Amino acid sequence: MKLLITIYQLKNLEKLSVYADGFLIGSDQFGTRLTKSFSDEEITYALKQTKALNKSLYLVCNQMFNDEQLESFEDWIQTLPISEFSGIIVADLGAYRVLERMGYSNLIVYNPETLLTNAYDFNFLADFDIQGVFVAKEITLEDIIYIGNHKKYQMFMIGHGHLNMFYSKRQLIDNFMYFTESENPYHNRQDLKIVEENRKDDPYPILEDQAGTHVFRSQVLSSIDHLTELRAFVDYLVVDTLFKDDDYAFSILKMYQDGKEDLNIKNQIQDKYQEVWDEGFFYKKTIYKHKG
Amino acid sequence: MIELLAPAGDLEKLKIALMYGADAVFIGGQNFSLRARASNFTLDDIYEATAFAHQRNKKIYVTTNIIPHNEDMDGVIEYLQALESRHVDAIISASPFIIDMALKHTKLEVHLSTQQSVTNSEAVNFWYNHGITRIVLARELNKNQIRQMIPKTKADIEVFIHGGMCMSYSGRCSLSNNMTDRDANRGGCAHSCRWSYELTQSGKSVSDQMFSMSSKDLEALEQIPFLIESGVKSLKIEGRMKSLHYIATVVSTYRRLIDDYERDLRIDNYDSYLIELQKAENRQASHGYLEGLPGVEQQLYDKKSEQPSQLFIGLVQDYDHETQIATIEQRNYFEVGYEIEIFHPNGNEQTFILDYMTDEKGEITQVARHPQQILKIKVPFAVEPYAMLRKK
Repeated sequence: MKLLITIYQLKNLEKLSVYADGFLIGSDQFGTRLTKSFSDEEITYALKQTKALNKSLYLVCNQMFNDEQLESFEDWIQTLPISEFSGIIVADLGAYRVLERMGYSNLIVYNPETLLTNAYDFNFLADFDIQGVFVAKEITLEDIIYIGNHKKYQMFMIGHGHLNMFYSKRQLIDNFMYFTESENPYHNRQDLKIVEENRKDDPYPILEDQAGTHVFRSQVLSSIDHLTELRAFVDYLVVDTLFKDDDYAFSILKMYQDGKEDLNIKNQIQDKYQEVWDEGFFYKKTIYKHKG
Repeated sequence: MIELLAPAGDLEKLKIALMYGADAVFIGGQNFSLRARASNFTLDDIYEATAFAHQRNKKIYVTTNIIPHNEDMDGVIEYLQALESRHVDAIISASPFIIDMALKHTKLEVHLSTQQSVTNSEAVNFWYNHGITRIVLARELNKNQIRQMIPKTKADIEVFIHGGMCMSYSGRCSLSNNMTDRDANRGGCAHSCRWSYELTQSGKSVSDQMFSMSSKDLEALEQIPFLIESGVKSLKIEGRMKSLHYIATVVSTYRRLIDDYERDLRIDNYDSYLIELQKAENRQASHGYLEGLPGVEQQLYDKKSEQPSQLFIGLVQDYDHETQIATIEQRNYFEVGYEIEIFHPNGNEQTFILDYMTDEKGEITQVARHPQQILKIKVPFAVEPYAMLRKK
């Protein structure tokens, strides 16, 4: 199982490479929920650096596209040395089709967030010679293990971070600020949260970026206690550091590479970043039907 | 001819939707369907539904649109075969498993649910090549993007025109899962996106007003001609949990608009259609994404419900032409002396003053106060079963 991590500053690539097997990077033209939007020059630089460090680099292009955006995406892909990337993460089957037509099927990693919740659906692109897919975040560890034992291509999984739970195309903060007759200095800010009146202990991070508005879980998912099980079938475990920084990435990576929770470091991190860790849906079964 | 597709939460609503002008109705069965709180149809109900629809040369689609977990897979093939044997015209699905089982083990037509959030022609063609004949597009497209997609595909395109809006890309939201443990993709959505929140920065409130992500409902009267001319195959009304009166009113209004446009090739004024919709509408509405990325006008910050302009008070069961006595089922309080509008299934409306009413025992009564009470009233013109009574 390889560890992939997001990054804020490219100057930290080498430092993080001590523990990371690879990196996720993207531009807000085509990616969303990014730690930072990197320019084409920065992306090309990261590619060279990661190659020199013998690390993977995945290009995150996880927006939902309309036809016009897909054309721009195709044009942009042609400007990059795309075959040198380890993979391209897409959330939209339209982007998959474009990359397939361009001959990059083997680079495609499909991440539809919530949709791949059973073994059949997880494998439904297996005949298309793509690299792999992300398993859904909202299922139990038992379900993930079952899917992992029946996988037909590589399994990617978010292993640590604030899981996103809402993706609207609307600029919801901008609309709200307009409604309150105020300026909007909050676009692309990573220090915003929304608090529901009956859940005041659970402030949810919210991010408005180029692609829309996103809401995230309050707690940080940690899979540190399950690495032994996950290693049996997860090919790439992603640590998403959105809302944190590269120091956070370094500490978390070290712990995950060590393969066990260091209570001291964990407490320091939770204190510094004011966060609570939990196990997401690993042991939380969602209700199929509400009898209302 | 473009299809008008309506929702129905039970058999009565289904019959109403078809009688008031829908070409097809979509319903949820008791398995593998979202909208768990809608009164979902048994297989016997579905058989009755298809018989009723097919007699009128109309269609029934059944939603099997959950995103299943491993434990939900048993019985899918048998259920799909049972739907086929009940002569269902198509299923609406999002999961590749359910789609593939339908394509492999039945001859059911498969429509792709909006839970897959298809936003471009490449994704449309991916699913068309997979064997799906109709794609329900994501709501996040404007009317020009829809128009430009249609020549690029052989798939039939279905577009939402009226009803509630998911605030997230459909199928990609787990707010409900996280906040209430209720699985949005398995029929349990708690609509957490419509709740009120405080927006904070570094722990401090940024406004003294509550933040809301909630949207006004979709209402696309003025976009209908454009969508017809674009080659859209089906116009979809959302709302399997809506009332009988709402469904009749909304379906009838869009039916009249579509027919008027197809006859005259122009609509000069939308006011009459809007006034008609407002007789049953209790939420603020806007055109969603159809005219572009929604701005503040499409958001719902004022949560106050709007009252429908007219009250639904009864449903006609029968009419005796000789005595001019209609048998009706009471739906809301009314009394002798009220001015009542009869809303006919063909969309026509007639009014009269109620001057005679008897109860179940045949005794003259002045008031109808009991829900679903059967009453007889004098109506000075012919009415047919399923006509509705509204208080003017």
